[in-house]
Amino acid sequence: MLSSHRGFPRSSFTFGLAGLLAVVLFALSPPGRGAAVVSTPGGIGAAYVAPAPAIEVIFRFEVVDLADTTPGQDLWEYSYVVSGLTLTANQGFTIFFDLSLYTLLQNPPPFVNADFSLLVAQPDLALNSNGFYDALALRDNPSFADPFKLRVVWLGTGSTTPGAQPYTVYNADFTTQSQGQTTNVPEPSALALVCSGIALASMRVRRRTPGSARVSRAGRGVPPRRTSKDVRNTGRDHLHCDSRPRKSVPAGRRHQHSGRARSPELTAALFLFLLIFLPAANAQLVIGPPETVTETRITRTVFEYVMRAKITNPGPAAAAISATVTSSSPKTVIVQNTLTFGNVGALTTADSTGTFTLRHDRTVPFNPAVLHWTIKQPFIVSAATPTAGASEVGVTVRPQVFFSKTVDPATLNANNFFAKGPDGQKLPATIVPANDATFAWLFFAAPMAGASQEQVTVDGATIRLAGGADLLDAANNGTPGSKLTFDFSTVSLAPLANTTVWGRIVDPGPDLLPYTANDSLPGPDRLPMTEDDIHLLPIAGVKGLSHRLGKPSRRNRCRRRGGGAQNKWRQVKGRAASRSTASLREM
Amino acid sequence: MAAPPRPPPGGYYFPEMVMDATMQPGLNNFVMKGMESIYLPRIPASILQNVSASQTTMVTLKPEAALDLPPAQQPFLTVEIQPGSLVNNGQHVASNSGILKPDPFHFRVAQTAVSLIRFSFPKKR
Repeated sequence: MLSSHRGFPRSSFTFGLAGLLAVVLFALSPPGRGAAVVSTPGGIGAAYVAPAPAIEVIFRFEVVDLADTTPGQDLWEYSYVVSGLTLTANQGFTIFFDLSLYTLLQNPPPFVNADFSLLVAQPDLALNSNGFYDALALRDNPSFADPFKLRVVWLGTGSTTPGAQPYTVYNADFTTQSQGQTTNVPEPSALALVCSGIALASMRVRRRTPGSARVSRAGRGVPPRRTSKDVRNTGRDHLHCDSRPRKSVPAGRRHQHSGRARSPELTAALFLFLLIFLPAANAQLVIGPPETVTETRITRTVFEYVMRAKITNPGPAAAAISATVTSSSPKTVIVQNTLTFGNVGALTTADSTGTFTLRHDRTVPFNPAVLHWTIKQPFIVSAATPTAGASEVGVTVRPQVFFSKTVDPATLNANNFFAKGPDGQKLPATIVPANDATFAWLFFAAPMAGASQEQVTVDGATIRLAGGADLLDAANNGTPGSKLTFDFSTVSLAPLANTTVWGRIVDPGPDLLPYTANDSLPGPDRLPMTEDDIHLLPIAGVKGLSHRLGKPSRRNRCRRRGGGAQNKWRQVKGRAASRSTASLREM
Repeated sequence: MAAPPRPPPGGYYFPEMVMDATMQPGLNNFVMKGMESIYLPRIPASILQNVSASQTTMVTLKPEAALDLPPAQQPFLTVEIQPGSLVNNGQHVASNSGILKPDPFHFRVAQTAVSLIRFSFPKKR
């Protein structure tokens, strides 16, 4: 099907009449609306000051469905008429083409006039960046008499047609002067409505563009004539009706698109792109294709992209991961080259915690393969428990430090990994490294003192990487061999007066389920699972015990006097019950 | 109320449990809030399996420890223990690192009623 949408009146008579009416209306406007107090050399007086004319920049478009030259490529042509815009040399405007809706923008674009330099950049999937049509003024006050045209391949569904697009007007330094949306209807001001009415009454010129079929009624301001054969919604403000057969759509595409869906070609390209994983220096960790976070225009063709990436870790957990990137293309320049990932779990894919920045010349497609990553994993203490500054830590807690890489266990000793009590003396402890050498414990020979400040030290000066000479950067300050110290305080064990803790340890019975007939009966209230239940299988010989909390009871009931403060973990130690020494003790 | 205590049944094992309890100073507290009794899971001692300090041990769920898990699903509940990766109650690690000599080690996999261990999990603060 060949058709067109007209978005602007063709007659300059309309605008000429509009200007005349504007002058008349301005002359008739109430004086108060234009009055202002002005300062003159002779003093202050009132004068009538004409308000600055509000010139509205309008990008009106007409879009025509052309005969397809390549099967499967839905070819259209945009034609833009710009009004209300005044440019000086090196200023310009850019119209953007959504990467999910357009492809294969006509390049080079058709000549307009000698006042403009034209440029086209294709939509870039790798950058997730839209294509654009750029017109740069080569002189002051360039002529907008000629329309700006561009052919594109439309990727929309069979029920949609190309519509309005975002545009920006930029200054000579490429900062944004103004921005908006192209439109295919006149601005709804009263003046414009009057003018359009006069214009429509005086102008009934039917135009047909060679290669295009006919002009839509809606585009001419005529109410659309709906037919049941083909009604195509062209967007928010345009309805196109055509009774002729719709241009055939490949069967594979007919049900594929929905809204802003991509073409099969684009989808396949995206799929292949996502399959690409960039080579990395570290054989285990792999950094995937970057994703654009923000986009900023720098020059006419160069845009700056703040990007992030995902990292895939097919191996064991890795800590404090970062990467630096370089580019092998002069069209892609790295601005900020470091990307942080932090800790990456085993067999996981994680987002970067930071971003990196590059500038890319949009005259060529962005190729992620030009980015070369070097993944860094420093040898540091990646985590520790208790955490620095922790309070009310149990007195039997065993401090544990985690390493970002496997440590040489033989280099861990009481001189480089230890804890000190409040008196400054080292606490007797055994160092227990993990079997995979990714962490190590301090097993204290005795519980720590209650309500005391403890300090753990990890001195990287003599702690080495497994199988290597690298020293531990314990403090993670970029200095191998640095020292880490952190403090925590233990919970108070001071008895609390008039405080008891009660409990009775019972057996759930042969069915292994609590509160069933083989282990309990309802009490006087005849309700199960209430306080007066009768437990049939209390375990004999159990004694309630917690250090410093009271004498153990000789009976089944465990009782502790002078229990500690709130919210403490307790331990019900049942294994000993089989040996008649069950206890209730504080962790 | 309770019946007279009696010795724990032979051949069973009552595992060590850790629980989250809140105590109010200056009051008589129950370990289980509002309840005097603390149930411990009754586990057959026969399900205990030795863990090797030198090679990987696969601990499986034995039928007598499967509370209501269908037999067809029981073989899929396993725990793989790498040599030297366990720390025992005596603060020694079953390790081949050469620093500490591992103690004899046991491990078990058993299914337990949720109501028995619910109190072991930290409460939402």
